Amino acid sequence: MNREEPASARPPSWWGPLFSADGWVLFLGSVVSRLYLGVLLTLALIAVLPALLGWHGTVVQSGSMEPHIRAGDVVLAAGFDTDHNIPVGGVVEFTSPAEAEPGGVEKTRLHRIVAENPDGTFVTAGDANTAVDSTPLEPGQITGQARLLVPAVGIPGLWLGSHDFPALAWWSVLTLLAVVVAVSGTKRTEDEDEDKDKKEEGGTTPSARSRRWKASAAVGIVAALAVLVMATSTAFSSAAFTAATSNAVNTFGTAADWTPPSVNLANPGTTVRASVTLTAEAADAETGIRQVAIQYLPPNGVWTSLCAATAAPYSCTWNTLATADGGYSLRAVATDNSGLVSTSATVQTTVSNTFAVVLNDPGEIQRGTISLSAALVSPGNTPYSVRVEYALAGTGRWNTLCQNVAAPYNCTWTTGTFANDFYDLRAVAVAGTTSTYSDIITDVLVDNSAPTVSMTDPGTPPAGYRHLRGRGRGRALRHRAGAAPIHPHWHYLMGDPLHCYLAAVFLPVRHHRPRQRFLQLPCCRHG
Amino acid sequence: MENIVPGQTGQKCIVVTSRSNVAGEVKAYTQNLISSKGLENRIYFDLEQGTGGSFNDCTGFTPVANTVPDLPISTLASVNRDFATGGASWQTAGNPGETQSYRGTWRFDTTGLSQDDINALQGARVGIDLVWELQSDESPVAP
Repeated sequence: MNREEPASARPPSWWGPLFSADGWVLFLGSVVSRLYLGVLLTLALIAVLPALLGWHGTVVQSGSMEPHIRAGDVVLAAGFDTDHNIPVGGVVEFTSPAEAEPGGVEKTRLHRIVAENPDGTFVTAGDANTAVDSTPLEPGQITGQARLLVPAVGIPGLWLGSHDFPALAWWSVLTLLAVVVAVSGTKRTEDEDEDKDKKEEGGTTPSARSRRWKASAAVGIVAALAVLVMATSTAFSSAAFTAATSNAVNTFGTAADWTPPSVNLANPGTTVRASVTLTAEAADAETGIRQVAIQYLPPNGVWTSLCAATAAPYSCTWNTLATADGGYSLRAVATDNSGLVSTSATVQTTVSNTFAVVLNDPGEIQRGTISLSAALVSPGNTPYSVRVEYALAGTGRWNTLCQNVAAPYNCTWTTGTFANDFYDLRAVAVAGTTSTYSDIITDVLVDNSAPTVSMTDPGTPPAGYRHLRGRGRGRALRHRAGAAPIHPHWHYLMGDPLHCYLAAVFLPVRHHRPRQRFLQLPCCRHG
Repeated sequence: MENIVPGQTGQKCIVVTSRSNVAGEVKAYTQNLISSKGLENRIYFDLEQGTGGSFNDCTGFTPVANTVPDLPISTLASVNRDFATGGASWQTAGNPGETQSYRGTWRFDTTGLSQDDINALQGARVGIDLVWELQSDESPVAP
């Protein structure tokens, strides 16, 4: 069978064979397209088939697991029993709670387990992150361990899921073009020859069957790719990028000592004189005592330090002779080794550099049980014993009446054991070998018998000249007459028009009431 | 802070800068608590977000948010311990150089303690790290 070329057919150009259906360009394009589609479909098949084993795949959404796992890769993970050993060092897929995600939405995360915490949780990290994830991983969060990595096959799905439609459109166009090229780039001459033969025979031409097959293949490929894109556009696993900075070791150190020392000044006594030792007690449990200063405050003055003691016992010697007599305040000021200062309570004392012992005067005439008391003036801290002595008046032969070794220096004098007479009294304060004497109280009369007074009655009514006689007896009466009669002073007193009185008055020793006897007489006129 | 005494308080400011070129979220949390004598229960710490101020200087700081109340640092170490439990959230836009000022206020509170218990805190030293963590699902762009 001969075929005639159309008269109008142009002679073939130099480029014609190259771009014709039988040319090299289309042939190569077809080969490349088929390779591309073959690889793509193979990867898709690898990504899908393990589902039969129960594995599940997710498209990696970000690149924190680079360089091993890149965005767009599909990671196939196999579930495993978390009761078994957790694969430290392996890549796991786990559910990250919303609060642990930067977007605040629960996600599936894909990171590597890098360590196990003592509390049974695990430390994860992205391979590309310099820092590990701060949120620990509970074993229950793990949904699978990465078993198979299918590179790049999830990129279209990632574009779709992330709404990167321009990239998806370009890929779609190129892929569809590849499909067209792949299915159309087949040998046509033989098919066409066969087509002519079949047409002459009235049967179905091979070309028609081929076109149908190619169309079916193209639709199938496109459908498979569409399913792949759709399937991988929702199953993502994120691998968040993490960066952290810290303000490390914010320390709070408390002071080694904020408790001031305790300090107390011992009371030197109500009255001090001469050389006095002042002692304070101080303590500080934390850092110890640096020094204790003992100070005094004179009347209308300012606090003045006596000394600063640095070791216990914290004592100072105060020479009161260098100060004026008067009331003083004393205190101790303690400083610990942290510089904290405490001041003791103030102690009051009196500086009296002049010492004296005083015996109270009981009176001129004493009878019965008499209380005598002695007092010390400015005794300071010196302990004294005080005794009360007596002597017959003017003799200077002293005898001890009583003695006290401590205040109060009181003494009871029972005159019944003493003869009626005049006595001298004194008090003696003794400190060691030093005796100090009080002023002497002289002529204290012991009279154990009350005085008596009598007067003769001149008769009533008296007439003419009458001799009156009054008698007084007793040592309390003047003249020290002893038992001898004492003549009184006579006093004539007018009572009323009918009566008058005659009084015999006996004058006592000093400080005592006079003793007198009254005699009532009828009215009379004298002189 | 050294030689602090009961009742003492103080403030420090810091400005955190994000160099990320992708959007993300920054949270603050605590790590590495150092305990001593129970002082960690008596140091209260509060972190505020705001504007102004500079490192170690709170002059000009204006508070804007305070999402976590002041708590003992021992409590912070357990409840604000990682990104998931962190606070003071700061959404970054992905512009390198974004800053956020923070003011930390601490106080040494011995309320309710006996004098002996207070004195037992003398010489104690505690510490804690403050961490600001940025997380992003986006891949940073290589400069």
